[in-house]
Amino acid sequence: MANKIQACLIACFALYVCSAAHAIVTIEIDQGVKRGVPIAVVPFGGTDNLELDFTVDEVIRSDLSRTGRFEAIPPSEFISFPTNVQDVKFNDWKLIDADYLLIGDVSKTSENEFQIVTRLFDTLEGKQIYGVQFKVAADQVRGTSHAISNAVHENITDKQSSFHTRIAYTTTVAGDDGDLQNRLYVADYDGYNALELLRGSAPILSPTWSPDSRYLAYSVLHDEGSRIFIQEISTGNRFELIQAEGHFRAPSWSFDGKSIAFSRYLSGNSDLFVYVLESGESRRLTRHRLIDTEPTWSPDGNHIVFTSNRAKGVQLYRIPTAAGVGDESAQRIQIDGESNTGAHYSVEGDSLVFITSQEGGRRVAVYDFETQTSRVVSPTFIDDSATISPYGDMIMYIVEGSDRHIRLLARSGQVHSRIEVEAGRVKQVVWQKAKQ
Amino acid sequence: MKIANPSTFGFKSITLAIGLHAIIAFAVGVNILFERYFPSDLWDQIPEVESIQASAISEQALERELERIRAQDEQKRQEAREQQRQLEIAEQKRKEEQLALARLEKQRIEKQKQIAAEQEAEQKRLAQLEQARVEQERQLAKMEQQRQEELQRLKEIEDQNLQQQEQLRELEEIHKKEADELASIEKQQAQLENVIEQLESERIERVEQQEQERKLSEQESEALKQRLQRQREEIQEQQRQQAEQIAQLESKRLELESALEQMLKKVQQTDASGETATPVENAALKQEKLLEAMRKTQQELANRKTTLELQQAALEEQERLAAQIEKKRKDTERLKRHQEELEAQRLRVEAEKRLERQAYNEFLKFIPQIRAKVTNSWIEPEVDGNLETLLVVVVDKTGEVQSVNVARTSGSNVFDRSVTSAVLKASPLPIPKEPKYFPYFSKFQFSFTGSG
Repeated sequence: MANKIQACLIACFALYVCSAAHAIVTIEIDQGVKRGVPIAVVPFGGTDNLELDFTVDEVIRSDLSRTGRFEAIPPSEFISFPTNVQDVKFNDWKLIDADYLLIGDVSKTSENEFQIVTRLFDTLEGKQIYGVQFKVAADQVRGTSHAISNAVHENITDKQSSFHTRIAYTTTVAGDDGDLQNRLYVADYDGYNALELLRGSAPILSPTWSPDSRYLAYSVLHDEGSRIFIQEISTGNRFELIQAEGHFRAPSWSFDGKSIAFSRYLSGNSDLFVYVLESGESRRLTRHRLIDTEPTWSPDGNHIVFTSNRAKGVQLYRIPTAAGVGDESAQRIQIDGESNTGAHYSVEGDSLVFITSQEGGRRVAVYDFETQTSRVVSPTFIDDSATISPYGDMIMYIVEGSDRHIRLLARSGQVHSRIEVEAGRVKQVVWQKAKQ
Repeated sequence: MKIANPSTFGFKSITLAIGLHAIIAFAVGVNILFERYFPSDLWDQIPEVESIQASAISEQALERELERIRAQDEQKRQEAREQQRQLEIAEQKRKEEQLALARLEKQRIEKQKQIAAEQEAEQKRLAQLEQARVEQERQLAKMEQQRQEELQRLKEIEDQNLQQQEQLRELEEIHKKEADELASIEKQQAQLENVIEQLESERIERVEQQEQERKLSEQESEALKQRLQRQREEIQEQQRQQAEQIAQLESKRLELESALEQMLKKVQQTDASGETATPVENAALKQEKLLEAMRKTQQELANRKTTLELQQAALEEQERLAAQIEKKRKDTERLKRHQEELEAQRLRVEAEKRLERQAYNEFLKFIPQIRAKVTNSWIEPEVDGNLETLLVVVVDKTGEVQSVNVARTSGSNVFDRSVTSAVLKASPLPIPKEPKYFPYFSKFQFSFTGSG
């Protein structure tokens, strides 16, 4: 008996020793580097014969680079150019530090149909993590490229991206007769596939998307006054929203699509109103002797944030939208800077993007409702007309100056790039509300 | 029946011749009376009266003849009477003989009884021996108890040993806890190692002492064994001699018995033949002597047997004692072996732990480098909420990452993949180059945490 106990003791001890010998050290790491994931997008096979003014891989590389979450490795560094899975050698990509590899092939299957096959690999683990095949018309190849970018982005970051969304912008162009001509466009987020909706001598202001992205509302500054119109994008049909006394400006379409908020300027005073599309009636939202303008709807429709000079400087205020709420309910959003204007709600409703006079000049900033703090994100100093993408991953704004242009900024502010648009001086830009 | 010798009757012949006539007449009457009153079987033996064949004889001749016949007659009667007496004597002697035989038989039975009594006494003695044996057993039980106590003491020593080990473990735990402070670690380690060395030297002394004790005990045991062997051989020799003696005695006894038997046979034959009583008496005498001899022989035999049994019992007792001592010795040795095994195990563990500690300390120095390399290769993804992934990493001797496995997922594929990639990209990881340390960190873990 005693011997058995001893044997047991020895066994237990041995076990303890074994377990102790295999005690595993754990190294804790709570911080990485904030940089883009290196990805190699190999030129897609078969694109030489497509007679397109772009290549699929270029579109994807541009897309992925814009959020700041990727670093697209330039093809000049590539060791090999596989277009199908058999040719992939993972070592080639480890050597150039490409964590991911995207390959693809485009082929023409009929007169107006292309087949696009693509695969995404994790080069470190040496395995495919995504693969897809599209059959599309020629005019959809670019859109499909954006869709591939979205898929890659989502597979690697777990987040959706706005590569397949559109913007609306206005320009001023000197006409043949020397007069200035104003134009309204919609285009892909990267400026491609621009479609002119309106042109005329009257300035076009404050375009706003319907949540289904089928309509735009905007105001036109005629000599006799400022009017608000709604225009169907696909047909170009449009109609005037309100025919009444005063100047109607700065329309903002609610996220539920049922209402449009606007400012009415009358007798030197500007107040906010909400127009309900179904009933065709308007109701007053603010009443103040000074100017209230640039309303923007919260996604849940419960609040409107607007710009007002009612107190010191030009600041952002928030007011509930419920009926019967008095002007006294408007509260200033406490943001530093002499002026804070032109706010747009993010689609998530948790933040605002706006133009601030903080940190010198006019700059794009983001206000966070939860932390009640704002942060300047643009690297430039003469910014105007900031708008945020439907997935909140990018911000677009206009850089003023002699070379007035649109810039696209990653939400993080790390990367930014110029968006080329149709000729002219770009005046305002607005991103569509809807997610795909 | 035989007729007695006639020579004994000569002196009566004159008297018979004188009264011849009267006797004849009387003889006729007596004859008639005899016919009537005496049993016939005696008279059947008597010869018929002779008939006288004479026609003219003288008175004197007649009287002479009558005298002769009377004399003859008388002689015959005398002879018959003598015969009768003889027979009676013979009968009496026969009876006496039988009595003597019965007496002998009785004596024999008595002797047998005596022998039985002696045997009983012998058994009593055996019972006493048995009692003595029981007593010895009790002593043995006592010895066993002492042995148990000894075992208990050994157990206590062992417990102390375990306690020492426990203390050692506690020391090590304290040491581990303070391992974070690198400066104090080495100081404490030095102290700890001093303690361990001291313990080690103490332990070595103890082990040597134990070894000496064990050798001594072995020698003692060997001597005891030899002594026992010698004793056993002597006893066996004695036994063999005694057995021979017993065999001799036995054969003697058998001879005696067969002689007795022959004698008895002879006596019986004598009885049957009806010869004189003298040989019978001789035989009885001889028988008695023989019985005496037999009793003596049996007595001696019993004595020898008793001695033998006693010796045998003593021998067995000794052997049992020796076996017990041997068993005890073996138990003690086994215990010692166990202790030695434990000690060896403890030493191995000690050495291993020391090595592990050294390896661990060495590895600790490399952790900042490893962390820096992995941190630099980890592109931290934007995440919602707090995520944590536990990776198990196996490296080769050059630090090259052999495998990365997600031991505990964060729940996010993207996060898990980003950290896996980070480790793979950081390969080879900077690890201590000393090969003997390698087994202790060929496998380790990374805990990656990220928050949105």
